[in-house]
Amino acid sequence: MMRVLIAEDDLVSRHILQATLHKWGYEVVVCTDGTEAWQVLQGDAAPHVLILDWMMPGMDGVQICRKVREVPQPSPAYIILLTARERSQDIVAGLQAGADDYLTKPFDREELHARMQAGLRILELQSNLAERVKELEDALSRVRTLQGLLPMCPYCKKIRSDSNYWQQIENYVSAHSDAQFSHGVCPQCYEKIVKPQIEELYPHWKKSS
Amino acid sequence: MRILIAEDDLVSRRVLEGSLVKWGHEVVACSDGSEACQALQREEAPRLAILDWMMPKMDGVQVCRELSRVPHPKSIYIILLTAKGRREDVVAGLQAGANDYITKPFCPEELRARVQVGLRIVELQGNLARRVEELEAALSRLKQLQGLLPICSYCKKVRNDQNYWQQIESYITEHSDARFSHSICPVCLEKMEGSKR
Repeated sequence: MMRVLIAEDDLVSRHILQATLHKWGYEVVVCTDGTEAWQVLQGDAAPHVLILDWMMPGMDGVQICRKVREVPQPSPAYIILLTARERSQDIVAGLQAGADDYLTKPFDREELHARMQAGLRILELQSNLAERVKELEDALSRVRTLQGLLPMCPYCKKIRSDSNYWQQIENYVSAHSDAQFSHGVCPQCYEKIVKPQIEELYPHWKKSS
Repeated sequence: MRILIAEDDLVSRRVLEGSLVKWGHEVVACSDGSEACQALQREEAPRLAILDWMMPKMDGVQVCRELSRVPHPKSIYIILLTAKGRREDVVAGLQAGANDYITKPFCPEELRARVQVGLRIVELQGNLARRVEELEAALSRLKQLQGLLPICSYCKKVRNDQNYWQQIESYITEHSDARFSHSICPVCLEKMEGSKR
């Protein structure tokens, strides 16, 4: 369930907004002033959709917008300012402070719903991209562990691992990458090592071949 | 940043284009909806579009629907700019896939602020998409070091993709960021000293 933070100091407006969002299936985190909203936003599981009143005790909605945008986030919150201020210069000031959208009170429920859904489309796209970045970074860091300087013994091809322990190169590489080894015999070693052994074991085989 | 505008009225189009150019944007101007829709589906399409609702051929809302029907890897931020100011029109426009809605006659500063919101979002998405591309490219280079590598149990050579037996050090060096420095392990050192004695 998508969580939405609302910050509204007026009791009646707050209840209407909360009930409306609840009816649409959102989980609502309710704050009665800007300072409380800012504290919730500092927490780990802060909601990604914020509906903020402009005029509130403590921090106002525009101040919250500014503070939220100060720290760039990989997947930033979507902020709707909901306010009685309807002059053009207020709308401009609100959007420039970092709000994504602006709705004047008294608000039309269907319009708020449509604007929230437009915001959720953007959030979904952003979080898909941010998730993909994280997946790729994780995958890359797993494979990347096979980097740097590996001390190798030229005779037996063992590698000194980080724990100062000499390890078969196959094991070392398998442990640090997605590669797996299947053992076989290369043509030179076959000629040099395997063939003489076979000939020793089966002398008649040598004659017939 | 390039912005596409679609507006059939010549005067409104010129005014809009003039404002955007003054604010430092490059403008791709279209005079009807189907021209805009085609331009927005191209690979190098502008990432932000301002569409009039009422236009010949395709209207702005139809363009929104068409673009959200065919998911584009890099999405386009759409602002509907229209004389239709009723609540149900706003709702219908946003539900069709528009990101924002401004009614005509518009206040230039408000349009400017809404364009900036759109550009902020488009830029963020662009940065994330670019990072995904970079990481995918980096990963596909490193991913060559996966799967089953046939290795000789005696000399530790590896059979590479060209069916050629290669020293394991050079194979790993080619396929990863690892480099080798040669030294002697205690077991081989003991053997060597044993054979000297």
